[in-house]
Amino acid sequence: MSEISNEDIAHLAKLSRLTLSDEEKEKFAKQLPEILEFVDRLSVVAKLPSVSQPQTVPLAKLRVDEESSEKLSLADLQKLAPAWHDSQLVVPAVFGEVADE
Amino acid sequence: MSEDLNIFLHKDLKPIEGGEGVLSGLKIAIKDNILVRDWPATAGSKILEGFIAPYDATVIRRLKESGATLVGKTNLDEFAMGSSTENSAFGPTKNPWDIKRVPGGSSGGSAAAVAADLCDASLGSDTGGSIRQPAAFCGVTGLKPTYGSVSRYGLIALASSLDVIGPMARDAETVEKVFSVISGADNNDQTTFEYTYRPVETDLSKLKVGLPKELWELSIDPEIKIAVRSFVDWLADKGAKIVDVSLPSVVYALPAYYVILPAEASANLSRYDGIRYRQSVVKDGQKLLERYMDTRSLFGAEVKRRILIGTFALSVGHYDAYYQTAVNVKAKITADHERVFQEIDLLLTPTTPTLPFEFGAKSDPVEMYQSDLMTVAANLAGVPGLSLPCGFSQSNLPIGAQLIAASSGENLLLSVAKQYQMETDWHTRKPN
Repeated sequence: MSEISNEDIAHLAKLSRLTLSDEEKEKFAKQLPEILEFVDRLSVVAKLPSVSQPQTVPLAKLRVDEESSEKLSLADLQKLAPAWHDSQLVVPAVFGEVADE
Repeated sequence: MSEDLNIFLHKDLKPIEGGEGVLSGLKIAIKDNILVRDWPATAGSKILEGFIAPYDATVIRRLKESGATLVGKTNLDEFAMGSSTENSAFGPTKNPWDIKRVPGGSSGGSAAAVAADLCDASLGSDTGGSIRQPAAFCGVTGLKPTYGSVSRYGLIALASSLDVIGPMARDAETVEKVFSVISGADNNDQTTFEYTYRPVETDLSKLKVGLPKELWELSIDPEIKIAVRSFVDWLADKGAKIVDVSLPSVVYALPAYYVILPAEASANLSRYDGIRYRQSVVKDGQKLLERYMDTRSLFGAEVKRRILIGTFALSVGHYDAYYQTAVNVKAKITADHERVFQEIDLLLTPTTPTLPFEFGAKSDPVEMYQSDLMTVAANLAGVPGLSLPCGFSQSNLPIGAQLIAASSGENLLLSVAKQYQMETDWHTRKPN
């Protein structure tokens, strides 16, 4: 069974953009190797011919005519998001100081 | 009854009354991962609390245009990840046949709503068995349609290459009525194809039914084997030819599924960012990335587990060993199904390896994943499957049989089910 340390889980959580509690890190460090051992059964079929990535839609079909349909109003959209200011979505600062919200 | 069983979420919703049409008078419950305009849609997650759907899913538009009455939104495992509804952030649904037991999942609320007589039909979604397994656990009929025959527009995405919406009802005739309305191509979902449902009257004496040995050889509850065997015998009595068939790749279906699903889910769930949806964990001095990560702590344990697995399977160094291999297995499973359906008309298996289990009985994730053993191959192959009641255990728990057909063979599945239900009464039984 693959060993996964709490540090590995912390790294994976960072890649996954998840904030985990210490308790969760411990729990997942125990469970993930069990799940990976289960899916590792696939290793015996690793020699199957490799197929291209799933392309469920023929590319030609992706070209559809653009046409207007029922529009979502600004009021509809404002109901969805947590914070708005002057008809714009409020987003925290990406760099530096946090802007006033 | 529904209050005690926790079948419906958003209990204060007023039904949307139907008008004239082929579904006039039919009361339909909707799984809470399908958008109904101006109704909440949580997908069973805290992260979507307060979200009000701004548009109708295509299936909902079609139901409304056909005169159906929409009665409410049903409970599910969070983002349809689970086999018991125990992963719902709003508490589990109880099985109407035994309230100590799970109704199956993830469409457990939709199956229980039909079993408890709270609606005539319901919509669920099926990514690895999420319509058929709860249908079996609740003693109702459930159809997982061919991938692409029903639009996913307005379905909250789990694994987009596998997800499909389908109907559940007490009998196959009602399932057929609803399916004929919701199916068909949709410009808003590029994975749909031209599809018109045409009922058929199948001559059972000309039918060739295959029993896939790899699935029948698995550890199956003896009472389930006996009940499903009685359905096989009924088909044989009608003159159907019963043959053993082999689908060697299906033994790898479950591990392949538990790579492909988390990989797609980890991408699909990246949209819940604390910016575009109402739920947002705001802290002093928080930066954009921190807002994103803090908000995503609202996900439940199973969702986090699958996001971690999906990220792992897609990461550099693991991609070929996991994701590419799983995609290769999916192609092999599809090819095996195409081959076998050149020789036979239907596959027949139990829908589930176990009877409905008690709450908390499967705390180990891998053990819970085994609930999908019988159903998941049909999702990977993209073919339709149907679960119908075929008996009861001595403890009065329902048992389901699964029929699988080649792509677009829903009419064959429903024809066989309708004929069986004309002569049996398993589907008419109701819990006390």
